[in-house]
This record gives sequence, structure tokens and C-alpha cells, in this order.
Amino acid sequence: MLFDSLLAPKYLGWLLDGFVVTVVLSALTCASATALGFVLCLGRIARSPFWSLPVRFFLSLFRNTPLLVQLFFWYFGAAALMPESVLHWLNQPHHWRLPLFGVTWPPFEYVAGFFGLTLYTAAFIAEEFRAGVQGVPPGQARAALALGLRRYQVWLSVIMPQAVRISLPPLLGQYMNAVKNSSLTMAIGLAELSYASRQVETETFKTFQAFGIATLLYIGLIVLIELAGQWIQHRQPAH
Amino acid sequence: MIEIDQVSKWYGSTQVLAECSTRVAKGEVVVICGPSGSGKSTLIKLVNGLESFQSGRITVDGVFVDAPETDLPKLRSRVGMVFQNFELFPHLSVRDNLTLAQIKVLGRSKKEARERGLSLLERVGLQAYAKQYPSQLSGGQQQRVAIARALCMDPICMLFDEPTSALDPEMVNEVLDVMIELAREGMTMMCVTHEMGFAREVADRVIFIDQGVIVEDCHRDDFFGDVAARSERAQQFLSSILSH
Repeated sequence: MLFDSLLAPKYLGWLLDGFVVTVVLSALTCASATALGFVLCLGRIARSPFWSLPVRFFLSLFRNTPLLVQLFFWYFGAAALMPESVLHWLNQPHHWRLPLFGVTWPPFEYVAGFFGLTLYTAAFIAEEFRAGVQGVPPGQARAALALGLRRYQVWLSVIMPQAVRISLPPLLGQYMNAVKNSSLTMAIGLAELSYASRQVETETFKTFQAFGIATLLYIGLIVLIELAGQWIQHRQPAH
Repeated sequence: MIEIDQVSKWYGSTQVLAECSTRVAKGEVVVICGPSGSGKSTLIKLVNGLESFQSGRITVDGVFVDAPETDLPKLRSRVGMVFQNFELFPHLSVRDNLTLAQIKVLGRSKKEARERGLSLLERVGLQAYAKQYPSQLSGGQQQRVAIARALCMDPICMLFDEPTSALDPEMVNEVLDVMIELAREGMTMMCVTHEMGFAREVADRVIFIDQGVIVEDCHRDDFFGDVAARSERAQQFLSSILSH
């Protein structure tokens, strides 16, 4: 009876494969969204409307529309706009052999999923960075300027380190969101954990096991981020 | 050393300084006082270009503060400034607070900067705190570190913007003692402060500002001794802060 209710190793393998995709997709999304979010933040707080206006438009567009719609747009909408040859190339698997390892260009749903998740997450991260920058008291910049530091030095040595510290907790929250949001990419056929659990459920009818294991894996990933955050904050000096 | 000539400043349509003129000679200690909102803090921030002004001219050691060709960061590195809220950098240890600008602005080596920092820390009596972070220090200690941080740059003059206003009463004296010692050593100083005891002891001159206008600019003995000769507004101010 008990053995009946367990999943066969084959299906556990499916779930594990999905989990690996979720981990890699989330990690890549977080890394590139952090870099992009930082650049967007700089644009957002720029004094010149030449930079700040388009960035504001970008941010409100991506923050205020559902991620699922955005993913559909990138997968179906953007694909429709692309020239046939580009789309054809993107839909084919590609493989490059580099000196140390090979690189495989993933199918289009991976590209669209990663792209959509990154833009969406970056919009939120940009605002967290901005809140961090604004959380640094203006007197800090004045004091740094009074010492003779140049504007870029004030930014690099005084404002940025403090802003990053302030935005770290909400930033980790955005990383957790990115992990959870990655499940939406199953809608465009990206074979991540949610997609895999759905497949296992369809084949085995063991609904509880399939989604239960997926849930545990998601929780494990979130806990890891949480622990990493606590470890980083523990290392910081008291304020 | 510092010449302020017919300087006016507006915030939008509100005039905060009206044709202020004064000069501070090398080695002179000038105390600036006045009611809150009178423009005294603004005036001192013009001297190192932290605030801009619309008319008049200011020179520091012969350099025009608002001239477009002036290398403002370089000028600022020669003018020390101490703020009401200390403004130590909370993410850096006391030692790194002292060395940051020495290394980045003056191009000193880390070793050189640390030695200089440590000797100034010793001078303000805080050598034991080099590895602490600002938040672990009391307000008075933080302000003394801030003074040491400014002195690390070997400034030609020092600006103090209400350096004791944010301190608990029992910590005021430890900061004033450092300032008094500095004044006696011949540092050129402009101090916005309400500490009249400090003014009496070391100020060469006292400037009284009200509503953006320099009402009094005279020797401290005249300011405190010959009260009858002072303007009505200055007398009011003096009696209100000296009555207790």
C-alpha cells in the first residue's frame, strides 16, 4: 500500500530534472535582473528626463502588467514580430564546442522565459535599489563632498555600499519571487519544476505526491535564499 | 583666508542671505550665531561650495568658490567641515572613515593614511576606537572622530556647522575641548554655534545674523562686554540665550 503511493524512480527523475531547470533559470534570472535593475535604477534617479522618463515608463509598464501576459507576449507576440530566419534559428537547438565545455543554445521557450522573467524582475529590483539609494541620508553625500571626494567617488564609496545594505532584505524578497514566478513559464512550455510535476501527475494520477514533492523543492530553495540572506546580514557590522 | 563679499542667496523667491560681507584672517576664530532660520548654516555652507549663491563673491585662500574653472573638490579637500549630525560613514570603521578621503583624494598610501588617522585619533583621545564602527560610539565620540576625519586632510581652515547641537549636554564639553585646543593652536575657524562660553573663550570675532543679514560683526569683547552698543535684535538674542 505504502509502495503503491510512492512515485516510481522515473517520475522522481522527471521532477528532479524540472527542479534543476528551475534552479538554473532562477539563478540566471536573479543575476541578470540584478545587473539590469542596477542600470535601470541609475537611469531612474538621473536628473535628466532624457534618462529618467523612458526608464519610468519601462518600470511602470513591467511592474503593472501580469507576468503571465508578459511571458505570452515574449513567446508568441515577439516571435510574430521577428523575421522568419531569426525565429527559425531560435527554434533550432545549437551547440558550440568551447575549449573547456560545450554550450547549447536552448529552445525558444527557454529564451523567452528567461527574457520575460528577467525584465519583470529587473523592474522590481530597480525600485528596491532606488529605495535603498533614497534611504541614505543626504548628509552623507554632503560630508563626502566636503572631504573633497568627486561625485563618482561619493557614489562608489559612500552611497552605494549603504544603499546595497538597505536594499538587501527586499532584494532577497525579489529573488524569492523570481523563484516562485519561474513556475509561470510552464505556460509557454518551459519544462521547469511545475511543468514536470504537472506531467507526473497526468501520467501517474498521484496528484498529492507530484505536487507535494514540487512544493517541498520550492520551499527548500526559498529557505536556502533566506539562510544566505541571514548569513550575509550576520556578517555586517552592527548599526 | 576667507573673504565673503556682498553675497546674496535665494531659495526660489525667498531671500535667505542678503549682501553678507565678512572676512576671516589666517588663524582667526569667528563664531557665527543667530536665531534658527537666520541663514547662518547656509552662509557657512557657501564657503566650501556645498550650497550655491546668486550674487556676490567668496574666495578661500584666493580661490573663487563659484568660478566655473575652480576645481571645487580640490578646494573642499583643503577646507575641513564638521556637521551637526556628525555624518560619519556608518558602513566604515572609525579607521576607514579617517583614511577614505586621504587615500581617494590626497592619494596617500594606506599605511601613511592610517598613521595620520591614528595620530589624530589619539589627539581627540579615541585611539582605542579605531576598529569600532560609528554606531558603537557615543555622539560626543562620533563628533570627535568627525573632527579628526576633517583634520586628516591637513585643512587650511575649518568650518563647524552647529557641532554640538545634536549632542546630549554631558557630551558637549568633550567636543568643545577639542575645538578650543584647535583654536589655540592657530587653526582658522568659522563656527556656527550657540555655545557662548566657547565664543567668549576662543573667538576673535562674533558675527550675529538675523533674517539673512549680518547684524553684528565685532570683536568678542565688544559683543559680550559692550552689550549696550549692540543692536536691539542682538541684545534680545543674547539675553534669551544667556538668561539661564
